[in-house]
Amino acid sequence: MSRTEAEDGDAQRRFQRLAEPHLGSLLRFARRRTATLSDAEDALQETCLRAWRAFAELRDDARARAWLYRILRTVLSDGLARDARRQRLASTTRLDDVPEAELAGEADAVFAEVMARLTSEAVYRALATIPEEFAMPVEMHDIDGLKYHEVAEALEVPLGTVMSRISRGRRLLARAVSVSVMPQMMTPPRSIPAERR
Amino acid sequence: MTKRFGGAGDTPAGDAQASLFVYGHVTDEIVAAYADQEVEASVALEIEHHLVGCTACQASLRVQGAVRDRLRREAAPEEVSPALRDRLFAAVRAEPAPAGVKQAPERRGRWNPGALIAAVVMRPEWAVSAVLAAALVVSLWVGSPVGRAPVPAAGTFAGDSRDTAAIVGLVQGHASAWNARDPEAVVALLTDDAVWVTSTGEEFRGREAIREAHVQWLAQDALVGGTTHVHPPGGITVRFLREDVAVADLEGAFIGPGAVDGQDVIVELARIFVVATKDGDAWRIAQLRNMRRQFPGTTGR
Repeated sequence: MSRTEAEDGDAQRRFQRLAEPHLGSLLRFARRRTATLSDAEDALQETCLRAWRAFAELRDDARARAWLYRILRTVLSDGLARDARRQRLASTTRLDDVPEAELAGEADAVFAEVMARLTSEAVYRALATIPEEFAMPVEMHDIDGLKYHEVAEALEVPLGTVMSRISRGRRLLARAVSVSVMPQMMTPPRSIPAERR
Repeated sequence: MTKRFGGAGDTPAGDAQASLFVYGHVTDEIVAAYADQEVEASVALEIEHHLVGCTACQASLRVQGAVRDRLRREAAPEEVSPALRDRLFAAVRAEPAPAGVKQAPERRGRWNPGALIAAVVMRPEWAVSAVLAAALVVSLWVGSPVGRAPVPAAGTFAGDSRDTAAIVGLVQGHASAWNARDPEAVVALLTDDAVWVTSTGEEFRGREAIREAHVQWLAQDALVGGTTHVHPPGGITVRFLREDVAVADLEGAFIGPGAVDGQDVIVELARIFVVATKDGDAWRIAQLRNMRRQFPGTTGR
């Protein structure tokens, strides 16, 4: 075996070792954004290829997960032109249009209980109604278990932006749940003191 | 155009936490970060102090926690079939390595706490990296014949590699349980009559006593910001005294917010001795003794 082939083998093994633990959660992340499982698998395939071609970028092995998510995100947004569903939703639900008082409306004492009892289907239905820029960091952190700094790397935004998108994304999700599951909670907030906002 | 990952100049933690309060309340971002254990210990203390008397901020915390906890239950990864995995990596194998790929990092050799302390002090986010790397290395180390397999002493049982892996798994299981703040998970690793001796000589006998001790230690730990417990895999040796009795000698560290400026440092280094017994197919910790190690340049708890 030539030296080059041996080096290729080393690099491939290292790549596989770094990528393999994250394939399941990457596929799951993709699956929530594609019409079919087969589309999600294709997105993952494309992610692996792009990651391999850009492997020299990755200087710190411990950052492999954030790096792979970043690439998957790009692959998915490239594919978004084919599936405009989320784009449409994202443009119709602007966070800026939502009054803060409404966002705070879920703070009712029963909210935690209602949230805990939601079915997966209801959770994903609610997730699909909030803009991608908020859904992505919330899902990366809460479902896929990325730390804030990893989310920041995956989304290529500052840490402060991650903090605000996660907190506001959860508020939006809470509101989406409130609207769909318990419309009565959208009546004027009761438990929020006036000085809260 | 090439963006480098892991290089200098990446997002530093901390500066985003400048404004803690707005109009007398903790901002929602900070509440979320606090709920997610992403704030420094000093910030967490300040928030906890405020939360005691503020029902509005308590409500915010409940919303953030409720949404997060519900989503967390969706965390089962999608199944990656062997066929799909083969397809993914076959495509990679079909292409030569891209130019400029660094060589695989050196994985063997002795753990060097000094180097890790220096690294963690310089780059706090490395604490997380170190944990991930340790988890990755241990999985390789256990499964790989080229890893630094524990050498059985003469006259002792060699032990099946699965037995060795199970014992390393017990050790790492305790670190995982600690990091998940889960005393029940600790108990699952123990024999019914397990004995746990701390570095100060305190002794806890039986699962319930050890569980209660962990509840208390974890509560104390939370007060100083919460530490991450790691066992460097290179620092674990396993010796089988009999087929169903093994001893493990290992190193452990707790990484957490330091006393000076809240950056993550190794706050405690330990040398730990474990006696494990096998009952049926299951290895459990029968006895454990923790010894505090001294290292220069740091203050212990």
